[in-house]
Amino acid sequence: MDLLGQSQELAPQRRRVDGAIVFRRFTDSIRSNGGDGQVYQEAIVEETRELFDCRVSELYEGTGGKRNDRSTLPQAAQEAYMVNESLSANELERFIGTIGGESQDEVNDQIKAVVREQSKQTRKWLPW
Amino acid sequence: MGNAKPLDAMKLPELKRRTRRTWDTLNAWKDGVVLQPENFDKEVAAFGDRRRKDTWIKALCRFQAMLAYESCVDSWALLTITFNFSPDRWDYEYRHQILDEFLMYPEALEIIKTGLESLFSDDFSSQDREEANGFLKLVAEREGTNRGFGNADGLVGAIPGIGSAA
Repeated sequence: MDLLGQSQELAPQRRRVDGAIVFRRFTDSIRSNGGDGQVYQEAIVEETRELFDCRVSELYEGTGGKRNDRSTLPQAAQEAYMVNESLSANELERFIGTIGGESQDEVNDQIKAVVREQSKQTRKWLPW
Repeated sequence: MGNAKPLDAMKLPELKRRTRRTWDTLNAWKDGVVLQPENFDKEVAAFGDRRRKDTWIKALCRFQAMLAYESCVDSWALLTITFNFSPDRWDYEYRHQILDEFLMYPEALEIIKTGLESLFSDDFSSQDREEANGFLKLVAEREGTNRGFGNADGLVGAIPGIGSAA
């Protein structure tokens, strides 16, 4: 409300989107589907293998990035992670409420399958 | 802490199943195809007699630490997700042993330090930082025990506030 009693719309809270923000949406989407800390780790290993044909440690060693800081990876690698995690989060958000199972392992396996499938699709569009 | 399981609550079949799952993840290639699955028994046997529970605990903790290392794209996520131990997690009872194994990596302290620096930078809110509470508690639990935190000139003291907070 301003002084004349008229309502003003608040500017939406937005900020520049970067790899870290996308990654957090990705991990949130895993959690929202009932995934635990274990499947988060498995999903990262799986995603990296599909996108780059290597392990996380090899990706850092091979590209000369500072270990465990994605902002030091080559731009192409950061983009690949960002695109894949954005699309995987979209997919996982679509699945919320439908993923279930008898055990945590079953839930985790279904989440991992979604990430694996999306990573395979993403890989097709990468130049390497 | 009401949900905390008694120590060593995990039974041998579950220990074996979890050890296998983590080992498979570490040794899989695409589509979950495990490379040289026959190596599993040999690798577990390197920790001791496979009829003994403590052998499987040692193997599980080592493999979990390896998975933590291999899944660490961002060091801060190691603290807010991987090592954010809480009593409802299945790996809670082994949290110290997993961290002990992780600290065997030469870069371990550096990774944790970088993670803390990121978390306490302006890019993270105080709410984000709360997600590392499980890790910070774990560090606090180690104070005054013979489980230090790496070497004497390592993490404690290097990060202002961490050593003196507890």
